[in-house]
Amino acid sequence: MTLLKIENLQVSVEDKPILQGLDLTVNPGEVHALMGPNGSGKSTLAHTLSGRDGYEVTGGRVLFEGRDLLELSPEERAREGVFLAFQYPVEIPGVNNSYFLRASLNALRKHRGEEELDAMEFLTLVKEKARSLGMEESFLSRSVNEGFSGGEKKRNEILQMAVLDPKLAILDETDSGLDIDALRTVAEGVNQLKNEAHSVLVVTHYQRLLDYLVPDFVHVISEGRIVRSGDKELALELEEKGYGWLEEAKAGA
Amino acid sequence: MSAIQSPPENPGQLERWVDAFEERDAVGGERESLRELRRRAMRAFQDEGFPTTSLELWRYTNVQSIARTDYGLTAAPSSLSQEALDAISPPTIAADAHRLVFVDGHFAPELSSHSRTAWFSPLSAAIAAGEELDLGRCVDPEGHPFAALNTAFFVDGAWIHLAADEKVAAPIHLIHVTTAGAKPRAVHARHLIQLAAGARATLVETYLGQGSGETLSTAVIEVQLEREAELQHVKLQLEEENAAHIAQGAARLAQGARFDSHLFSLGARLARNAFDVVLLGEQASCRLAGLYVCDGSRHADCQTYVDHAVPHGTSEQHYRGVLDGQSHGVFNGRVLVREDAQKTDAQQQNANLLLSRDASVDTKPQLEIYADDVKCSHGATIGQLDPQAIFYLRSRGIGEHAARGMLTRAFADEILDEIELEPLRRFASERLHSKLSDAAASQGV
Ligand SMILES: Nc1ncnc2c1ncn2[C@@H]1O[C@H](COP(=O)(O)OP(=O)(O)OP(=O)(O)O)[C@@H](O)[C@H]1O
Ligand SMILES: [Mg+2]
Repeated sequence: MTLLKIENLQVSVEDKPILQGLDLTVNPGEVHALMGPNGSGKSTLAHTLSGRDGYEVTGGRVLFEGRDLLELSPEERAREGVFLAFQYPVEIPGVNNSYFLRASLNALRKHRGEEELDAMEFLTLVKEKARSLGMEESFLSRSVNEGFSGGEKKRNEILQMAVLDPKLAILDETDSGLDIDALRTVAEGVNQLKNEAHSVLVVTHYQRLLDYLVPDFVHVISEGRIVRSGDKELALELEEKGYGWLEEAKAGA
Repeated sequence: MSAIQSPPENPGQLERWVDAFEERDAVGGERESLRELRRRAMRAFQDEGFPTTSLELWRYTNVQSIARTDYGLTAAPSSLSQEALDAISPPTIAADAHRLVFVDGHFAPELSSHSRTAWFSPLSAAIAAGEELDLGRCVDPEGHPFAALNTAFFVDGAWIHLAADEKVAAPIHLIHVTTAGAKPRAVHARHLIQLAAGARATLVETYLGQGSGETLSTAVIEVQLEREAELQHVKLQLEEENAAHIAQGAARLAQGARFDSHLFSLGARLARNAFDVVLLGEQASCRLAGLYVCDGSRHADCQTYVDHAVPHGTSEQHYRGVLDGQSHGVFNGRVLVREDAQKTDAQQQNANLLLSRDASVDTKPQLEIYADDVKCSHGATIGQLDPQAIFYLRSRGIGEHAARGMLTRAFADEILDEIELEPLRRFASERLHSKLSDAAASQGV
C-alpha cells in the first residue's frame, strides 16, 4: 500500500499561499529527496505534515496509509509513525533528554498496544542507539537540546528518529551544519529505516548527503509545486547547474 | 516602617482582639519583659489595625476578609490523635528526623519524637520556667500587624538553641496542624531559633490544616545565627482551601554565618510569606528561594527583605510562581545595600509562569544601593508556556496535556531540585506534581 499520498496540496501561511498544488507519492521503503530554492516551500510542507499550527490547508489532501492525515493532531500523527526532524530543533530547559524520549517512545508504544518500557529497559535501548550513532551518553542526561551545538541538535533529532523508528521520517535540512562524521551518522540512521521498509523524505540543498544515502527519487520544488522529478542523477545535475533553469523554464512557458 | 495610619476598617472585630488580649493579660504568670513585649505589640496592632492595600507592602494583598472574620479568640485547642495526624499525612522528611508537632499552636508531646532535649524546649515550658527569651529582636511588632498579633497572642512554639559548634545531624521537623471547627479559628505559631558560633542544623517547618472550616494561622520565626553558624531552612505551607496563612520570618546573621531557606507555598486560600534577613557580620551569606503554586482563586504573596549592613556579604534570591485559574501571585523582593556594605554580592530573580488568561501576578524586585563597589543584579519575568516547546513535544507523540505538565514541572523543578533531603524533595515533588497536573487538566485539553 502507498504510505503517503499528497494530492494537489495547497497551504497558506498568514493568508499567503505557499504550497500551490503539490503532489507527491511515497511507498514503503523509498527514500525521496526534496530540493529547491530558499523559500520554495520545503519546510512548509514538512510542518504541514507534522501538524504545526499556522499552516492553513486551503485545498487538496494528504493520505497516510490511506487515512486522512490532516485530521489528526500532531501527537496522533507521531503515534501513527510520522516523524519530523526539525530544521531548527527547540531547546527545552529543565526537561531531561532521556526522560522526554522515554515519554515519547512510551506514548507510541501505548498507542500500538505494546507494553511501556520502564526506566532501566529504556536506558539500555537508548544507550545502544546513542552508541550506534556515535553520540556521547552525557547528552542523554542533559536538558533537551539546551546548549547543544547546531550539529549536536541535529544528531539528537536522529537519535529520536532511531528510537521512535517511524514509518515515515521527514528530515528538514538535517544535513546542514553537520561535519562529515555526523553526516555519515545521519545516513546510517536513514539506511536503517530503509532496511525495515520504512520511508524517508529528505529535504536538502546539497548533494553531499545524497552521496551517503542514495535516494530512489529526487524532486525539485519551486513556488510551492513539484516542477521536476527524477532519480539520483537529477541531484547531480542540480549541483552542477543550480536553479537558474527554473526561471528560464518559466520565461519560456 | 509604616508611618501612614489608615483608620481600622472594622473597629468591631479589632475591639474583640483587644478585649481578648486584655483578658489574657490579666491572667499574668509570665515574665515582665515578655508581658511588656506583648503589650507593646498589642498597642502597635491597635494603632495600625489590619493593614489595608493603601500601604505599599500590602498593596496587592487584601486582608479585609480576615479583618472581618469573627474568630473564636478564646477557643481551646483541639487535641489530635495519632490516627488523625496520620490521616492528614504529614511528610516524612528523613527517617531519623526529630519530629515536633504542634496542634492549634500548642506543643503536642504525645505526637512528637521529643518533648525536651538539650537544644529544644517548647516555648510554653520555657516561659513557665521563667526563662529570659530573646523574643522580638528579629521581628518588630511595629509595622508588622500580623506579627504584632502573633506576639500578643502566641502561647507556644519551638525554642531551638544550639550551643557553640553543636551539630544536630538529623533534620528538625516542626509540624503545625491547624484544626478547623464550627467557628473560625485563629492560631499563632512562634519559633525562636538560636545557633551559637559554628553550630549547624536543618530545620523544616510544615503547616497543615485539618477540616474544612475557616482558619487563620499567623507564624513568626526568629532566627539568630552567630559566627559561622549555618541553618538550612525549608518551609512547606500546605493548608486547606479555607485557611489564611500570614507569616513573618526574620534572620540575623553574624560574621560568616550561612542561612539557606526554601519556601514551598502550595496551600491556603490566602497565603503571605515574608522573610527578612539582616547581614550583620562580614562574609555572611544567605539564599532565599521559593516556589508558589496557585490555582482556583488562591492568592500567594512572597515578600523578602535583605539588608546588607556590612561589607563582603552575599545574598541570592530565586523565587518562582506558577499561576493558574483566577489566582494571583505577588513577589515583592527588596535588597538594601548600605553605604558601608562594599563588595556586596546580591542577586535577585523572580520568574512567573501564567497558565491561564485570568491568572495574574504582581512582581516588584527592588534594589536600593548606597555602596559603590558592589555586584548586584535583579530581574523578573512573567511568561507563558512556550508554544514551540509544546509543539515539539507533541510532534514526538506526547499528548498536549502531558506536554504542558512536563514543561510546567520543568519550570518548578528549578527550585525543587535544590532540596537536599531526598525524602523531603520527593514529597514536595509529588505534592507539586499532583497540584500541577490539576492545573494542567483545568486547561480543558
Ligand atoms: N510564518 C510565516 N509568515 C509569513 N511567511 C512565511 C511564514 N512561514 C513561511 N513563510 C514563507 O513561506 C515561504 C516558504 O517558506 P519555507 O520555510 O517553506 O521555505 P523553504 O523551502 O523551507 O526554504 P529554506 O530552503 O530557506 O529552508 C517563504 O517565502 C517564507 O517567507
Ligand atoms: Mg526550510
